[in-house]
Amino acid sequence: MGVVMNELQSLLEFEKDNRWLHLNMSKLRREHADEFVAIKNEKIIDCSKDINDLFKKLEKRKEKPNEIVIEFVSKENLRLLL
Amino acid sequence: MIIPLGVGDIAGAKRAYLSFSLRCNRFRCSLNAKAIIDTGSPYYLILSYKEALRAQFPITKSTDTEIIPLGGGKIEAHRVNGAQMSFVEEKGAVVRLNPSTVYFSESTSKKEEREGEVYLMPNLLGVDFLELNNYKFVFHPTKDKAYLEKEE
Repeated sequence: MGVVMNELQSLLEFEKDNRWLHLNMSKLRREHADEFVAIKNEKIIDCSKDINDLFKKLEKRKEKPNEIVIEFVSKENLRLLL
Repeated sequence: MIIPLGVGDIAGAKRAYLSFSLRCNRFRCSLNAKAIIDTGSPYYLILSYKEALRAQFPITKSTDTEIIPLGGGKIEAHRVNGAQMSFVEEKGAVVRLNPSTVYFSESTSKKEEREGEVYLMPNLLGVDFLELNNYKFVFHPTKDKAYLEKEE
């Protein structure tokens, strides 16, 4: 039961941070152009131009990159045709 | 059963996405991720190169690869069998699936990595995901509303 609750909470927090990311993308493009940002609890906890450098920073904070939102903020709003 | 989807600007356009967690016991990796619903993709789930890095997926040790045509180009992708996927439905229960195969993308070039292009590619949940689980996909972009529906 505890494992399910942890999983559920982790997923709900991840989704909440994703919503925050999408609502704040214009601001992020101004302040973090061409950077990777790590988001937790609806705020940026660290950023870097290099993803491996960001992982190292997160490791120092004892954060797990695989559990939190990490997004590359491109300077230009490139529209990908998939 | 209704599974709510997020709607947001992903890869430069408004798209519907599902947040989920994925566990691959064979490769001892797991991650929380989001994937857009891409009805143009026949594959169950394709994860981007960024997610391979986040999950510490051992790309160098994986030899089971496939070339997948994508967006006018091609990507090399690592095939993973036996993964477990979970996400939350409307009433708060956790839904668990066992995808037959998921793929982790490989970076195609150092140039793309330097310029960040490879990191813009979203994760894709394709028609296999919808069909094998009998999901109907509803997307109303004007109202920023999207969901999956499964008839009981």
